[in-house]
Amino acid sequence: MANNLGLESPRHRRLRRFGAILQGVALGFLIVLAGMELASLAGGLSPFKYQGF
Amino acid sequence: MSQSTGVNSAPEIASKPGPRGAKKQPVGWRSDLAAWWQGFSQPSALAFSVFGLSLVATVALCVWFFSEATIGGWYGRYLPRSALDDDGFATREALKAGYEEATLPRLMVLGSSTIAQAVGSGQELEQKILDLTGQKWRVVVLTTAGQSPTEQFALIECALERQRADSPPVVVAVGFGPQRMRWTAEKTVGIATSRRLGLRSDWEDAEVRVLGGTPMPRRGFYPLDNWDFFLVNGARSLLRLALQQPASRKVDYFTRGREGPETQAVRDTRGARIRDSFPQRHGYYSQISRLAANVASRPNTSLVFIEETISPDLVTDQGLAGIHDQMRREMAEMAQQQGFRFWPVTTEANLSSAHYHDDLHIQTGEAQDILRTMIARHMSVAMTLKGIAHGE
Repeated sequence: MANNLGLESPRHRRLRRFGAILQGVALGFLIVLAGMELASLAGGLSPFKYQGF
Repeated sequence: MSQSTGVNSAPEIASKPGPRGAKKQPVGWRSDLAAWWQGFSQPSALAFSVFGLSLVATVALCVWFFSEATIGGWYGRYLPRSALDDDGFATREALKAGYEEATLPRLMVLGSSTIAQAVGSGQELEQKILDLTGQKWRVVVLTTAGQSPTEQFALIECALERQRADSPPVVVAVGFGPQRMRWTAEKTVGIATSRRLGLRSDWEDAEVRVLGGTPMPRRGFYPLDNWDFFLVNGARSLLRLALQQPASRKVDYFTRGREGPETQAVRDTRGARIRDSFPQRHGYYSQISRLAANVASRPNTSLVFIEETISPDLVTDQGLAGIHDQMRREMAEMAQQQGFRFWPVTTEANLSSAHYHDDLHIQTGEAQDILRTMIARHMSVAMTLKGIAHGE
């Protein structure tokens, strides 16, 4: 985050990088999970599909 | 919470008056948060690179977690989706029983919701057996709602994977009752093609072939071999693993929901199913014979069929007394001829209508206690007769 002089403190640079890393980790993890859920929905799979037949 | 001391630090500069109309910079912890948020919320080369790595790492995590060795081990506790996930818990318990070196005699309980509701978590039954016999047994609950015969083949084979002649004894207890007659060959094969459980088994595949079906192909790669199970459980299991939040099993949850007696329509349907499927019972008896032969191939293992609960109201209302009696008789004869046991615990417990939540499931509490006592008594008698080897 740049200040009024267009400079960024090392602390802010680290925080920004940390935020970017967190973004990448969270997106990668959640997209795999979402993929499994979508495939499950697309396949009409349900934990209770065959109960009470 | 400002800790900045450098000449270029945002809080100090921000305190100076800026040019007229210039955007005011956040100060202190707000500037820290703004910097973090900027990195977290905006696209960047770093975020994209980490995203790619995370994607690969998560897929690798999936491959590691969804394997028989992992599910059967300590991390398998994160597999079940929720406290009511019968399929996840039964898969986990069967693989765990098959992977661990048993130190105690084990009673493995299989069956549908009726048996699950009667047995509960298994701890109470363990205590009953200890009280009556003085021996410590471990109860492994492998029940699942609407459990099919082929699923029982798979669960038992996996759970007995490491059973040897010098292993502590195992009693495999399987639920049996008039409502099981609905498992015709066609219906059993149909269910076998959907992988509700995360298990593959030679016994199950052989049974599917005998019933005229074709077993699902096996590639030796767990997620592909158990694709439906993998997709249904995948996201929640991995979330539980990431958050270190395993689900605690609730086995006897079948008295939740509807209050009051069954509607007549439901009871009529249930009665009609039992009557209609009764003439086809010999197909199911054949499945029992094959199951008994498979279990007999494992050393130090006994097979027992325990009578499932069925409400006296349903039996009376639908005129099922004759069917019920005949089935019990035939099962007792089969048990004698084929070397397994049949414990008519429900008949012996003589439960009243008040003990039932609905036509098939007993109430929690007193009714469960009576049923467990009957099972523990049979265990005690079997051990006294030396038919079942002694535990510790």
